[in-house]
Amino acid sequence: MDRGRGDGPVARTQRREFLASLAGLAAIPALRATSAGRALLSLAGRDTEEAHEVLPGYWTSLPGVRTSCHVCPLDCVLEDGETCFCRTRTNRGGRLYTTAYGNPCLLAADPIEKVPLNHFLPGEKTLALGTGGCNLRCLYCQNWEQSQEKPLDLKNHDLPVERAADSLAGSDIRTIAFTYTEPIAFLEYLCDVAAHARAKKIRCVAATALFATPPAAKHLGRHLDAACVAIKAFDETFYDKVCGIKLAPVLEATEALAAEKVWIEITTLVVPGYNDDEKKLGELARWIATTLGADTPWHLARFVPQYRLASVPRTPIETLERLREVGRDAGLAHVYLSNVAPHEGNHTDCARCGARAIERLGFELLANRLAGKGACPKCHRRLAGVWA
Amino acid sequence: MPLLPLLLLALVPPRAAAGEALAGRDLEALAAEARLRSFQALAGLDLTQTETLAGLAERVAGERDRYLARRASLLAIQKATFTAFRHQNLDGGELTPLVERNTAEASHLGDKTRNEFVASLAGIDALAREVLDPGQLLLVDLLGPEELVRCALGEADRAPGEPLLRQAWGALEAVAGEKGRTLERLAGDEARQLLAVAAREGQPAWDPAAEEERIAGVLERAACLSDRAAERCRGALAREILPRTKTEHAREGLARIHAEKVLAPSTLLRLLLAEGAASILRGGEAADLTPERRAVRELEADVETLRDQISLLNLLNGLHLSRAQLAALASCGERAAAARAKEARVLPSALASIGLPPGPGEPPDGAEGRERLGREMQRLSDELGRGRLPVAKRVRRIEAIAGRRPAGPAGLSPEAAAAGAREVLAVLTPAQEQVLLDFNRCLLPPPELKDPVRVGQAGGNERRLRELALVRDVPAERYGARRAQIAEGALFRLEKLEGSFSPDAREAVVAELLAIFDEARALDDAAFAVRSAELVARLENLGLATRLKEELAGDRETELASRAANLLLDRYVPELAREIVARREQRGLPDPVDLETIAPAPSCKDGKCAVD
Repeated sequence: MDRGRGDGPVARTQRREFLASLAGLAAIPALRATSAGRALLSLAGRDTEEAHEVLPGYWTSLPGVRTSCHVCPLDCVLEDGETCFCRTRTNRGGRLYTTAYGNPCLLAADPIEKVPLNHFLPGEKTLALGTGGCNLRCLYCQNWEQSQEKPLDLKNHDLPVERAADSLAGSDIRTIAFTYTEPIAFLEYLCDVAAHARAKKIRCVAATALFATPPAAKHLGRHLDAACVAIKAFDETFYDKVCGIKLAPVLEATEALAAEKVWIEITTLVVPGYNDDEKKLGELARWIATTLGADTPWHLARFVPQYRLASVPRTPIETLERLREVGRDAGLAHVYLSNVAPHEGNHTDCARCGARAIERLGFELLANRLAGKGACPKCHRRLAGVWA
Repeated sequence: MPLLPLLLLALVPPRAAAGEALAGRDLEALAAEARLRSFQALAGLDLTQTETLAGLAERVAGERDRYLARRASLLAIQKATFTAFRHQNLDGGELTPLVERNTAEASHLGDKTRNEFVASLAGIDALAREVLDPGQLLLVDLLGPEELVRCALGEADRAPGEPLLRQAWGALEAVAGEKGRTLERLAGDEARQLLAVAAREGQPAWDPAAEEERIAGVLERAACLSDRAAERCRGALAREILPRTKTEHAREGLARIHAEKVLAPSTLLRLLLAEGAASILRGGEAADLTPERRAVRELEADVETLRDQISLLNLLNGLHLSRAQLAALASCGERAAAARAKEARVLPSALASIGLPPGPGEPPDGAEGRERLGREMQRLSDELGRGRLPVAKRVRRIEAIAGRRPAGPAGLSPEAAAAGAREVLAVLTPAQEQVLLDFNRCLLPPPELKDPVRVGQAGGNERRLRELALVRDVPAERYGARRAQIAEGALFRLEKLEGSFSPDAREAVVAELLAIFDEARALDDAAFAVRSAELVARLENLGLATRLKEELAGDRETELASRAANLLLDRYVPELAREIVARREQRGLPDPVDLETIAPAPSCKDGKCAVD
């Protein structure tokens, strides 16, 4: 529904307004004009020809107008009218539709380092977007106001798939980042945006917890140039109690994504007392080194009190520094500290000679001394990453 | 740097000594008395003027007493809240919202009350100005109270060395005693010549037309000065009529913006605020501080110390220094303090022979030093009170010593300060240097220091971006009618933060605001996301203070060295840096949480995956 707020082709859609408008069919043409409206119409069963179904092969019809979703390992089985755990996929009359499609609630130009990606086009900006919904329930979610809501309950931007890439024409932005919330929850939209963008030589990256089935992870990988996977701990109990999911599928999906030749970085948000155990994080570091490679960057992010862990203090910097050593001892060449700046852990050093290659102040690039295609300024060894 | 100004700074006791009594007299009260007596001696007030000003001083004292009664309780609140804030800041800057809010409110209330007090004196200031003649007014309009003491001490024989200052000096000499149309023409000619010399000397005026008018105006008023005032104040006035360069123009602009937010009493009011001002003006004794006043002074000193320490803690926390760095910084500070003490010991012994207080800027050492300082100030006040001005010979002797021992900031020689700054910079990483460069003294740390933007966190919520987003949200049918009103609102907020524009400039700013808003509205969501940083930058560049700061931005290395020297000379660095380290060591690491006992995250179990 176009609230007619601006002079440009902008729309804001909210569920309650939609419901109010159902009283009159006159609203339908207006709704068809926007992707958010189309999603609403599809849910209402009024406009199914324009609805966005969940990717073929990632859901099945079950007897009795039920559906089963296979995008993530939860395999949600839904009665008619029910919505998946991720809050974005709904069973309507025995078919599974996504409400996240074309409905990003978050849209901004961010530094690529904020994804976080430190070895992928450093210093560049990216058009970052995310929709409502997530298939995790992390108690410390940094974007819970969006991730823990259904897309149609939020104030959304109108962003048809082709518009994301088209808007970058004439700007110095060369990438689109699917981030903030969980891209697996809006996989269908991501794939279409990415397909259009990559056709225009725009690269696509994602920040994901990757609680996905291996086929879905592979499907995601085919649309991405880089990804930062949040492995939240190396502890099934933590995943179960704090995130509401399991760890093993995440590791499996990460391996599947890596097989698609996507540049991968790993991030772990360290919550003091919850997942800061040296031994367990040492195991994670060794898993990264052996499974993904010792050159895989590992970001240790400082926890800032949020959501249901608002009373837990920030991670002591000493903890992060100690864990950085744990990561290095496990053989990882690049262990970064995030959410704390300035810090030595913000910079990129050569894995061989230790020369400072990239200097940062948080997300701000102070100096990039890499030569050519990522060569160390001192020993000229090529650093792992995508540099141009 | 000449020693004389620094010696006079020493007349104003450092904060640590502010509450210390000296044989029944307070050092600050003595300094205030010296300032008022200096003005009296230079202005040559007649009996009527003296009596009127004394009456007004009594009214000022009444207002001040009422203000101080309120201020005492406010200071007590500030001390309590700032102490809590400091305590949390020592633990790494993790501030609880309650303590942060209390601090902000206590600070705001203090500023508001002070502004109200200063505003309440505006009427008295106007009446006092009516009493003075143009020459006397020139003294208080152009010179600060401390400068008046400096003039009274004997600027008379100060020979200007550099050509520009010599030209200004000559202009003041030329207009002395002139009147009427001759004066007007002469003042204009002299102003133009001064501007020409400034241009030739590579110090061109930023706004020549405005400067010519300003300088000519001062010269015309300077012609009204008494011979004695003209002679004694010529050096100070010469400095005041030098054409304003771009940098000076920017500095003045920023000072004006600051003065809009924090009202400050005029020079004339500051003189009348001296303890026992009415009695001093009438040739009587200055009053001693009452115990209540002394208690307020002590509270003021405590609160100011807390403010200094909190600001430093904001910086230290924002730098995220390691323990080794904190220890190194503390050592640098301690070495600087030792060097400063060493130089201060040399200087007083050299100055003792001419019976003047030690300097520069250092508190006199121990009770004996304070007694000596107090005696010298009392003698100065007595001399001035008798209408005698100190002989220039004394000043020349001081400057001769100053020539041999130039003093750097806060008591260190320039060489020692520069070496110390290099030591400080060797401790910091390049990223920390950038934080040091960007830091401004503050009570509440800015968001980038307190709560940096985090990885993966949803969009920026900066004020300007929010403002643009709100403008974009105004429905099209209402925007047309409210466009001008929206721009006026934005202008109001801009001026509140960044200083007022002139009426001409205001029109142009409103036009640019409207252009930015229209542009932001014309973009669709994606295009706005891509271009919002550029639009926000355009909005920010409209701010007067932002523009003036850009004009002032100089050489990075020089600025960095200066900031490092300031950090080195901050007397609280060693104490606070070591306390932070000690607390970090005491605090240890958090205990592991038993995950089996926490309220678990919702999960999809037993097939119950659907959400409503």
